[in-house]
Amino acid sequence: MSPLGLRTRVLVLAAVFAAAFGALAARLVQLQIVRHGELSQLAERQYSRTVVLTARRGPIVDRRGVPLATSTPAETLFAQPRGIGDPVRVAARLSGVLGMPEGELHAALVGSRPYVVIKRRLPPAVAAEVRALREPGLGLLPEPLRLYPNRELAAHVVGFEGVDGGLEGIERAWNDTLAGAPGKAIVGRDALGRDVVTQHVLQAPAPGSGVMLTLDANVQYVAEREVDAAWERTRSRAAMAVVIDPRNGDVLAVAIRPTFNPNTFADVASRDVWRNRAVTDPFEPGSTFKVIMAAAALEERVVRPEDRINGDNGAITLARTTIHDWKKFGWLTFSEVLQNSSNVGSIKVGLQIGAPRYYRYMTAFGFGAPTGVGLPGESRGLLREPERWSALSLPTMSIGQEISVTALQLVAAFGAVANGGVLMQPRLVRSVFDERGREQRRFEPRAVRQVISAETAQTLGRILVKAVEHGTGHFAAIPGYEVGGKTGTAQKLDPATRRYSRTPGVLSFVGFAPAEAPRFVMLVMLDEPKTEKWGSEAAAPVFAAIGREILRYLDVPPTDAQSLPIVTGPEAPPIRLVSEAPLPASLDGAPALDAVMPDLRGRTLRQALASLASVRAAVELSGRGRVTGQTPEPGTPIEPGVAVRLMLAPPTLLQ
Amino acid sequence: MIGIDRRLLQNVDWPLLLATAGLVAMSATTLSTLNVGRAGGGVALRQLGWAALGVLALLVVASLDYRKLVRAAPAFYLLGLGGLAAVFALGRSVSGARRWIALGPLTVQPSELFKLCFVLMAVWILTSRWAQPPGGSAIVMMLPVAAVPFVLVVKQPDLGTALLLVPVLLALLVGAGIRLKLLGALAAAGLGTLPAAWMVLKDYQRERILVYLDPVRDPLGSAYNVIQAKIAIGSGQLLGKGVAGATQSRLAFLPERHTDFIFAVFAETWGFVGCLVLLTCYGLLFVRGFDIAASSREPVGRLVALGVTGLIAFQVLINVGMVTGLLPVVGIPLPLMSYGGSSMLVSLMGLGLLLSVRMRQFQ
Repeated sequence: MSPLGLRTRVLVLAAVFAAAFGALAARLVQLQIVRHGELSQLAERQYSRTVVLTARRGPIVDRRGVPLATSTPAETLFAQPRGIGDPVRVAARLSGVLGMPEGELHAALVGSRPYVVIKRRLPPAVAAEVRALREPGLGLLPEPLRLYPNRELAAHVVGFEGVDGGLEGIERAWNDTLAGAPGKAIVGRDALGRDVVTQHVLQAPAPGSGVMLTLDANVQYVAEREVDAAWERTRSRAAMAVVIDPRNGDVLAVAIRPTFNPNTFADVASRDVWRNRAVTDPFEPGSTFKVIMAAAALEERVVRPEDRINGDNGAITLARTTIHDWKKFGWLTFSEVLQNSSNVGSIKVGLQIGAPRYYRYMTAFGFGAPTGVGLPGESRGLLREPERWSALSLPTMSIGQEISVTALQLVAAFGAVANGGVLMQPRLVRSVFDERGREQRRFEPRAVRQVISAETAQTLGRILVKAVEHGTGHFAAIPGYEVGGKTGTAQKLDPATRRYSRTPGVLSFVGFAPAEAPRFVMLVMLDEPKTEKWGSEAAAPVFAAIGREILRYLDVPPTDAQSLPIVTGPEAPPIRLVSEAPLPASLDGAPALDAVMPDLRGRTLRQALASLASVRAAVELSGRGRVTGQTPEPGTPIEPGVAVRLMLAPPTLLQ
Repeated sequence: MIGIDRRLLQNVDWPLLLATAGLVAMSATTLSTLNVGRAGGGVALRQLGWAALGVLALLVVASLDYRKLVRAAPAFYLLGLGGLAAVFALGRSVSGARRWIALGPLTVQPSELFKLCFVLMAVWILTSRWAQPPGGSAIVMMLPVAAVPFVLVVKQPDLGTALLLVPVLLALLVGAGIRLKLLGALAAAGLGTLPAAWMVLKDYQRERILVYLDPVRDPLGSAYNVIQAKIAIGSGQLLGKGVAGATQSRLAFLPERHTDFIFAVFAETWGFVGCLVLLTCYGLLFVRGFDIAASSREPVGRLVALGVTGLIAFQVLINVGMVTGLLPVVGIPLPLMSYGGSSMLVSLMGLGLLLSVRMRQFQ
């Protein structure tokens, strides 16, 4: 064969190789260019698992920034059984750290599921111990722990958070605001299903906003202390006190017994204790409701305070039903009718008002409709329309029967009387602020309507002062102040007999102080007290005990004192604000999340306290106005329990 | 010991050496990104060590006259056969195959080294005076020479390496000028033995071929490698995922990723563009190899160049074809890229032979 022929053969071989090479390149085009999407997806699917990064839940604070609910870093431990080396050994080691039974852990570790949650929300110290085990197949994900540093304080308002968000109270009603937006991360895993260390955060979690309530932790504390004492003393089924500021409708305290500790909300005998009875449980108001009747009668000029009404010896018969007074009254002025809580007198005036007008006033005072305070499960109470009333309805409604109201409705209605006739919508949430304490939304007080004229309100207020000074409410008197108010005793309808039972049902007192310019309106209610000796006036002393401390706390000068009133807002009291109760022992030592002192200088007190809301620190204040100095210095790490001092001074023109 | 003529140095094939250096560098880079077993990052360094040894061997081989080497081919061949036989006596078994012999601290794979011996021996037969012009007698002589090592390698078992001998031999026969009619008859006879060969195959070997024909047959079993390799290559897309993003390779989804499937790692990391660079290096190697063969004016040089080029080119084609799912999975490393000392050494020595032919073409 010629050398030329051989050369050709080599070139032919080369051409064959070239063709094969071209085929390879074509194959690469097919895989890497044409099918890249499909194959990339396959790659991603097998190496990655998307995990949810829980956002830090915003705090709930009182009107001064005292934390009622905070979040602290915690981590949830999960296992990927496929990656676990020796389940027996891992279970034994974990058991030591977590204090969980070995058998339970072992069962979880050998399961067939690819991903098992072992224990939720471990405190950082425990999480670190788990991490130190360096066991493959175990992983930790941040999932903050919700803490209620003041335990039972305002538990019914604050509510609590379960695994899937807020379950009760503000935690539930404001869940979307508090929760923030969860983030997403991709956790890579290798062919053995083990998590790879690097986490790729796709979307960082957006921390939730904080909610500042109108509650005042100090008022709340006093109210709870006194309600608790009264609840135990009278062995009532339930007891509560609701305090609002009539000028703006701010709810200052909602104290309810029985209560619970939201840190361990599941440890309750009955879920009934979670209920915020002040908004969910309507009751027959009884005599306190005569004030509503009186407001309508005075405004419509049906009667004047000094008009005389015959008490008819304490009995009135309507539609073959006789209603008695607790005492055989003779002639009484209308003012005295209220002071002595005469049923006969009230019914007579009520009949003169007439059903449609009375109904109009009741609805104008907010009865029969939810107040819109924004708590879950709020009841509208029971107020039938006049078309469905019986012959007995108007008279009984005049003395607060055949109608049921919530505690909040009643206290708000009294608020209108105390606020020159203007009904304010109860306000529980003051503002929403972001994670740095900057205000995002602000809720202004909202006047619902002028229910009665300012003069009528004034007149009625004087009558109620007399009711406390000379009438049934004298146990509610607070030395040094003028107090207005009205007692109430209502029998409960026995569901079996459809008649009023003879045992005491609901004892209540609703009042306000100081009478000239009321700073608070308070309802105290005892539900089915067992101890008879306190009688129908059991609620009034509780009102006095709480009211005295509120007035002192608010720096309200006594009327008999000659000193000039000092203009003080509730924003800047010279007071030391400290968490009232110790934290659960297991979480002590957990550092606060933003454990760095923010720069608060130049901020208002409210802004400063909101910034500090998430920090478990005692705050000491001196002076008023804006923050001019602070310790620790900005940027200093804050240890839990450290004392933060803020020096304040009023803004001057020079600034 | 070996006098190097100055003129020889003028004819050094620099593009060839450049492509080789590029491939070795890519191999070491790729290996350094992998975390393989206990060896860890050590594989890259060891590969470089073997490459250094290989370059030394390349220089030695290039400086020798290939004609003298071919003349000594029977001795090399017998030595190679001895090595293959020794595997059965001294061999270390790794995952069911006895392919390696420990020589002090090193482990060598006689079947790799034998490839070159076989090329030299085939050239020796085809260019022997008694076989001129190459025809029936050469083929008759070639049959036992090919069959004995074939059986020994199959028995290791290392089907891939054994099968590789067939196309290399075919290329040499074509290059030697054997008449096409005779080649056709040989091919027909070869095809006739295929059914018999099927009977001889081990179960897993049959499974691999069936998987090739039907990839979804057993996705977690035999087809796993191929599917994972395809995913790796495809997810590399145009520009690759980079070292950090190459999850298939780094997270151990890809089996045999530092040896036979290293191409998938490379493709995932550097994408289509990277693959083109890699294939261009190989292409350059082959263009130079065929050019050396085609421009050789005497049969020994031409056949040595053709044999060595064919040996490397077939391995590249089969390996990449197998990793991309075009061919069934047979254990053939990617020359100069796959981790493995013997393969690196043999590939570089083969390139040394090519250089030797090149440098002496213009004497």
